[in-house]
Amino acid sequence: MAHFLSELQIALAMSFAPMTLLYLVIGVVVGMILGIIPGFSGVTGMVILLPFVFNLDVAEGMALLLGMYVATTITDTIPAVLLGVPGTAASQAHVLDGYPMAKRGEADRALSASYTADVFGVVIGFFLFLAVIPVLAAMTMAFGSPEYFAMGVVGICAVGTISTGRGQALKGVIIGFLGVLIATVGMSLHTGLPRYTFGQHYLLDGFPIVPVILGLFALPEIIDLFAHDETIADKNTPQGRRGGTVAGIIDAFRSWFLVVRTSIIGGIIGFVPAVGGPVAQWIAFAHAKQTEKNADQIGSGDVRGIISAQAAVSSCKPASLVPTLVFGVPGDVVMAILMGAFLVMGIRPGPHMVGADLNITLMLMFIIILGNIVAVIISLCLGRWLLNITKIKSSIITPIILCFMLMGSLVATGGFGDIAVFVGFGILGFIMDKTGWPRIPLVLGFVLGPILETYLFISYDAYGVGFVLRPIVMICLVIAVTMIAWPALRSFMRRRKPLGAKI
Amino acid sequence: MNWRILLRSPFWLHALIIAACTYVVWDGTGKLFRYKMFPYVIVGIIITFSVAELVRHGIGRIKDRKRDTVDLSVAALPDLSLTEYDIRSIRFIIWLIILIALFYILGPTFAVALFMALYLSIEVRMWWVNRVLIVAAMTLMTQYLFIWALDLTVPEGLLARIIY
Repeated sequence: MAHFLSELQIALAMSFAPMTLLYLVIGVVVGMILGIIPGFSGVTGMVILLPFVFNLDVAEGMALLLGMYVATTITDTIPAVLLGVPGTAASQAHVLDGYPMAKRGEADRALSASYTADVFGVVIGFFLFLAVIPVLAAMTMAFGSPEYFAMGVVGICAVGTISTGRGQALKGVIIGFLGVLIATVGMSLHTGLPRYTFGQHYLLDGFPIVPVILGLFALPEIIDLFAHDETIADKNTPQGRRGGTVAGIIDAFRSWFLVVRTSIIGGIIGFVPAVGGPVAQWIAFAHAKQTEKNADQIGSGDVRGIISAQAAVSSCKPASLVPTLVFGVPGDVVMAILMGAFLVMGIRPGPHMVGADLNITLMLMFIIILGNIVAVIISLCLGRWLLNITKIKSSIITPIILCFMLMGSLVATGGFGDIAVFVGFGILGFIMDKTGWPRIPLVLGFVLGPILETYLFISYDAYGVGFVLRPIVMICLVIAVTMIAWPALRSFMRRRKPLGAKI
Repeated sequence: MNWRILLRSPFWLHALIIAACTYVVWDGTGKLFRYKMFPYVIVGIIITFSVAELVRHGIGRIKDRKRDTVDLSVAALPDLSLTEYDIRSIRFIIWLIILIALFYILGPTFAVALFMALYLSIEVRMWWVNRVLIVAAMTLMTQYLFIWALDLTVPEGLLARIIY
């Protein structure tokens, strides 16, 4: 307990340092702008901000990135409610109730209810995290290098399976392991010999993470934005008149039990790798429809629909950090990029994140909560004004972001090699995007590659090939195989059912 | 063959992956075990799944043929004409090439300024006052935010190397 309190004190001091708060506000503002532009997401924002964390200390860098990330999940509600267009995938459920409310003239009520539920959700998510710390600490005691290696494999399989369409699970897994293979380029960690460098000195340190992620994710998004050259505001007129802010806040307080339940649902989903907010919102929404009185109104302009979805999405945020920080298995691509940033800043995920380095974990949680509160305050004050951003034509935004990306890619070595990597992976990302190959597992594999190699070497040195027979490793590998084979198994079982019925 | 059909073929990325795996195996021949152990494990996993995916794809095609469910109507044919989207994508790529060329010749600060001026004049046809303001803002941002605040090492342009 004494250790926990001292870690808590350190975390609070780091989170509330003036420079940390300044970077948090900058991150939140950038995130709010990007969250409002449909088509942009936390991923693109995080990729664009990634080069800026290189010169910052841990608290400042994380404040910038996490502030941006949490803000996108709050302001994406604004276009969802006012225009009927979800800002990101995690605000799709908001359209069902928010847009009809806006048409009735209750837009501000819907938005303020969503913001209030968001703050509640993130705080409940934080307490859920505190509750599982002892469990996590006990679990990590049973984990050694073989188990961490197996967890990494499960993470790649989980993200590869979920990020692809139906019946395409293998594609995602192949791409995930291709990412791991790409990460082996450079000096071999255990022999000191250059590997797959084609004699290029530039590649001795491997492909730098910033140009790779910028190319894979940001460049295809920008091409898409440019090619569509239109504004959302051209097609959709903002609905609703001003007023109802206080009513929305009261609504969220009145539905406190719904907020608590859906936050717990979101928090639990957040712990599961590769699921996150987009899934949590629908499960929470379905829960509200099943359990609330007059449930038929939910989905056609009832504030409880927005409250349930937003509480679940926001409580996911602290929970989704857990697999990344403790097991080194990023739950989604935002977490994979964040993990890349952790490694750049010298934070190595592992069991010590709920032990000796608990202060860093707690600091990250506080930053998420503070980021939410700052974003909510700004949204309440400037939400409608921020909507004007959707009127800017994408052809004006794209060159600015393109210049930022090209400059940002130079952060690795400052040479033309960085630009070549950026363009090369940009082309790969664009083609993958257009041909239905997922990009998320590639990044995850790329980030996890060196860690997996280290764990595999330690496991092999300590136990030989027999490390795969350790119980937790076997369980992990069975889970991985089941995840990949599940679509085939399911279709096989479905085909068997009618036969049985005939007999 | 139309490039869009070629791109959408499920085999090209598999071919690329298998080529990469073959190279990894060839590169590891005769090298230390510690050098090649991890890449070989990963290559083994990739090849296993690639073969499984190709088999799955092949079985799917055979089933479709057996069911005779292939829609041969004109509406089912893919649209092979270059859409507005394709044309604009190509235009963007041309702008990207211009920006990289300017980077190489002028160095980042002047390249960003000239690129923004060209882009806003040709692509957006913006009022000149707005154009000047945006170009100035971007140039300052490049200089202050990236080069000074981030202490970024940026490559010298070809012209700077010739002049100095």
